[in-house]
Amino acid sequence: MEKLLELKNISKSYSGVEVLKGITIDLEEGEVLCLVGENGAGKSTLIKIISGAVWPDAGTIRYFGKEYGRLHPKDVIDMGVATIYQEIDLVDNLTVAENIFLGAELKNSLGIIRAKEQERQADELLEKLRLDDISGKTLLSKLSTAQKQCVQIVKALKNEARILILDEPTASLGDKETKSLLALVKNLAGQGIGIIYISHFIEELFALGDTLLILKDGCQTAVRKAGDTTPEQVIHDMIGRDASSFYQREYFQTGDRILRAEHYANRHTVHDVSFEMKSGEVFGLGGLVGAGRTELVRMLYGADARLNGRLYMDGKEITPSSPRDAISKGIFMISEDRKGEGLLTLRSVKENIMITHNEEREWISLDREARMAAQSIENFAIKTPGQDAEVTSLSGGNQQKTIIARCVTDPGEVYIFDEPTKGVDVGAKEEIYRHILNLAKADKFVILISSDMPELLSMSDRIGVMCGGRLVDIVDVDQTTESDLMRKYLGLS
Amino acid sequence: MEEQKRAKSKVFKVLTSQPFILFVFIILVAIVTNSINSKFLTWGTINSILGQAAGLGLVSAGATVLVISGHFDISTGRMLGLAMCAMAIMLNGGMHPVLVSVLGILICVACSVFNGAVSIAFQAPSFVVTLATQNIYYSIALLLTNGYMQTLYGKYRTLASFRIFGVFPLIYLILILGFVSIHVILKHTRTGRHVYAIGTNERAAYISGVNIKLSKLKCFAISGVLVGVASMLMLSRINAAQATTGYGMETEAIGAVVIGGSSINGGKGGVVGTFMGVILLSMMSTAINMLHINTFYEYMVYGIVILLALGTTAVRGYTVGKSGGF
Repeated sequence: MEKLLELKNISKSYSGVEVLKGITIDLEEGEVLCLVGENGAGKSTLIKIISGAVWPDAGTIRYFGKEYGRLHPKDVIDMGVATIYQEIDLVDNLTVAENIFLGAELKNSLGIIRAKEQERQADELLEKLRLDDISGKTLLSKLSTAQKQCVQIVKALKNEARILILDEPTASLGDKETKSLLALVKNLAGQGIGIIYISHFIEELFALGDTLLILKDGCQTAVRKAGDTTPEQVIHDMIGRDASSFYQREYFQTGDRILRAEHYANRHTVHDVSFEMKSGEVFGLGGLVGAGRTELVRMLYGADARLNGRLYMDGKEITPSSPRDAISKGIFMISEDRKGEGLLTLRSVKENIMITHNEEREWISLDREARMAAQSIENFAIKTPGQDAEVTSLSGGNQQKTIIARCVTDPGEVYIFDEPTKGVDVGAKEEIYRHILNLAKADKFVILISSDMPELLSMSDRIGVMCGGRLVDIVDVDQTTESDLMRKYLGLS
Repeated sequence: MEEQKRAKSKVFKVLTSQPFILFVFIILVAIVTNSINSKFLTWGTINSILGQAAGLGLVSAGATVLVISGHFDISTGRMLGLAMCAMAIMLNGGMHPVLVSVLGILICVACSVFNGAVSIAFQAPSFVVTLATQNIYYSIALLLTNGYMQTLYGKYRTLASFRIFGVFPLIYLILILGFVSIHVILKHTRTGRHVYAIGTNERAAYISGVNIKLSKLKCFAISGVLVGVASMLMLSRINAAQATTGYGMETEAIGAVVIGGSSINGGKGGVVGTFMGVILLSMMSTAINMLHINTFYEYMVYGIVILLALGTTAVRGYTVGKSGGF
């Protein structure tokens, strides 16, 4: 079989820090190669190198058996290497066909776009990939996220791509959608396209991959055939230590202080939610996407308008009117949208940590600030070149730790974590769990939203189940199972 | 070893910073101009450059705060004209200069805060809001003056002519104080951190407990104070005012901010760069004059300098900014 891609001893460093060392890859026709590794292991850089966006410091790359000099990303695309990133890069207000032909429109001699012909060809492509449920005429905004992902793949394949790189394509998809996307990828591999696939979901890698390339700290620790290995082995290769999917947490005596939320409601997504929790407890909130969990905690935090709802601690009302008010009352929230609502993207790690603390007084003592930031960076083991480094230069896990550090510089009472480990690697996950549990241990109130079932089950004391904007049940963790919870999420029991 | 490395990278950071590059550029222009016309580096010329720079400098310092917070105020020029006219009329009416100065500042703060408040209330970009309000301020100035030039006949000169210990002009002190206080606000206060925060990511700043609306109003108020002080200085220097005075300074000020390396999208920058930008711009026109270059070239040079500044910012972005890795 023909070798589509050969990488030999690829290395790359950024300002003295080696992010890739001696990577060697062979990709054959129809092979699915999965890249596995923690965030910051070097997967993204490797992809950027293959797609021509970044030039390696050392090593050779051969595309389709030929070695080239320095290439521009466009040259690589023209050779038949298509890269699809996690964020959907399509225009909502255009049709599927227009999106597929965007930038390479079919025009007649007067320069007018031949819309009908584009639609016909788009439908042909879609049919070839068994995506019959999508029509070229449909407006993109009418499609689901998974369908948009598929359109993106079709667009990439339009130019006869022979290598397809997918960077966490299923990160924002549900179970069923993931399955159909995986089916599409398998289908493509069957047609002889070489696939490089990145995902945090181990089951996907085993369902899809022929070869697993495991990266750790920029080195490849192992190359394994999917058939000859186990998830435990892969996790072991990734982090160099054993990890089970269920985190073994420590349980503490809950305190006797009580937080009570009463009749929380907004116009559409949350209806009359009330609950009570004890200090020292981790109160999980489970449910499907759209169940109203995020909307509920945002109201608890005072970030969004509400129709109704009051919050009491030990009988005293503490309902916050704004995030600022919430913080002054010791209520903190870590938003699920790290880029949009968490990070001050252009600013330093130090400023990101200290922004909430800065509330205290007008004059900032730079020395004290630097000392406190250094302390936080140490406490949270945030991996950064320095506290003045831009926060976006850190890996996802370290960005998240920065945001958590921000919320615990000052004493507080209530901590709301909304999907705290989304897009975070296994190692950083455990650290984040430890910090969450430390808060519970210190007799604080912890509310945890998680869509990761094992995480929710292993971290919570009790789980509130939300469905259709209502809190339908509250269950003790030791009296429930994964399947039981899922039934409740779906509103079956 | 580690210490040495850190010190080295710090030096590198300073040497590649926009203010430093501008500083070198300013020195170069000064030396070249002086080698052709030796009258350039004399106290007389420098005094006249700095004197002209004072008004623009203060307005630019205020504009820096707004730009970093993600805003623009293109009504500052008209605001300046309005305040100067109002102050001239009050002075000619016999009011005490100190009272007039305070009122002048208040007028600018009121106009500026009004801009901010409208922008917040209508959730409209401040660029568009101030595009509208500048016309209103101009009209008020015209109505106040009936379109006539207001001459002060030597009143209110002290500010521009006073020299501390008989040597150091008061204007310079005010200019320096203006920049130093903005620098201190930006780097050493909670307000400053909030300015950067809302300029970078307003939603994240909100979730982190920043009072967005109040912070924005503060930015506009700070800019207003500086425009007010600038109008005092300019009124004292020119000793006359009319409705059109100051027009065009708003774009020059934003130009100085951009030349100084602040990001036009907000979230990044500082006032040291702006100071260099102001000096560079003010010195350009004098240099062109003294080199006997056709003054019609002045605006071309101004435009090219802004483009060059954007260019160096971009190059620095490629080489320095992306060194973080992934």
